[in-house]
Amino acid sequence: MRVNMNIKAIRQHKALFSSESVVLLDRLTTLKAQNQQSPLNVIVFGKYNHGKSSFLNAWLREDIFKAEDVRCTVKVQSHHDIKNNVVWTDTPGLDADKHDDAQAKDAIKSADVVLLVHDIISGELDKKELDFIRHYSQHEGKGKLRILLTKIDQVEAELKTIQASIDQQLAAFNLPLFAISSTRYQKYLKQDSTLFLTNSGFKPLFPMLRTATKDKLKMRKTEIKTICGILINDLTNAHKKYTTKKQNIESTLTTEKQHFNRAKQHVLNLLH
Amino acid sequence: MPLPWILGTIVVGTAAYLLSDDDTEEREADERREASREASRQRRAHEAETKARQTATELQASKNIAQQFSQKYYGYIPQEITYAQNKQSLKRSVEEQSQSKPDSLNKLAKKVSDAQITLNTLEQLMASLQSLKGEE
Repeated sequence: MRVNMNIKAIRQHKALFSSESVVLLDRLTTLKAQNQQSPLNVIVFGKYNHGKSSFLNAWLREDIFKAEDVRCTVKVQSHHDIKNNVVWTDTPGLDADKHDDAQAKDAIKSADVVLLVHDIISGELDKKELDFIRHYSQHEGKGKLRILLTKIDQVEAELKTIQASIDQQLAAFNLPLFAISSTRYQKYLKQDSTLFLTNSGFKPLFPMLRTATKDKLKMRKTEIKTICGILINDLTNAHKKYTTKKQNIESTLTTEKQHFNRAKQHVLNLLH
Repeated sequence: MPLPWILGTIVVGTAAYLLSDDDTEEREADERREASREASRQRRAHEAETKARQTATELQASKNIAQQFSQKYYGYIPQEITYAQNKQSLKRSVEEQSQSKPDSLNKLAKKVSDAQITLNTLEQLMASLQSLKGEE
């Protein structure tokens, strides 16, 4: 009788999974271990110097993450906002170097929500960002990705034009997009001016995060289903591969047996 | 008186001559027979030697075939084959060795069985993941 394996037992057979699936298997393990009390994991991701750390510091109302005009986040840093039960993770800039890219991509594996930060001053999304969005939003990041267009205070006149072309770039992906200014939000915090709050674009982020927190279990369940589907698909391919392999060995074995029996008979006939 | 003596001498002489001639023939015939026997012995010995050589050559050729077979399929040559005295014992040794499956066939059979174990594990993993998916 076949007994179903639990995730721990499944992991013991990770040699049968492809390298991409082993990563998903790790994620599946994490997801299965999480419950309603587990914090929401928000990963802030994007090219270096596009305002990731500045956004986080403004959002958390504390200078927790180092933010300067040069590349300064060189390793993954996290902060647990206990009050809202959200773990915020700042990642090194995408496209800085291979090591930073790998670290950032590794960090998003544990994400419930990924905020892809793009500095609007730099214009449209570039190929690397679009490639990431295309792949991530359709695979392991399904339903997790949101786009943050930062520094909108610095492109007053061209804002609408740039945002329109970015909207067009993202039209096929149906992703929530937030145009924000961390500077204005900081000003709001200092001056308590609702105008700065409104113009900072931070307001819509609150309901988005509330929904994400409320729906995290549902999202994780969906993710578990998606991952299981991908893993089953991977194993189906492996099954096909091993079936062919077995058939080939069986065919060789039959041929070898025939050769052996013929050779044996031939020798015995000669010795007659 | 001399005539009888003369006649007697002639008779005795003739007889002696005649008798001596018979002995020589018999000896010569004897020698011929002996030579023929010797030739026959030598021929038989030569034939036996040729046959023995031929048998040894044939046995060696059979051993070579048996050894090639053993080496190819079993990776070693049993002493019974190397030191077989005749074809019958050689054949018996080959039959005996070929009762067991050669290593190469055993290895292939093991590979088939390993692949089947992997396939069973994969099926179990797929069923487990399917069940995990259904739980959510």
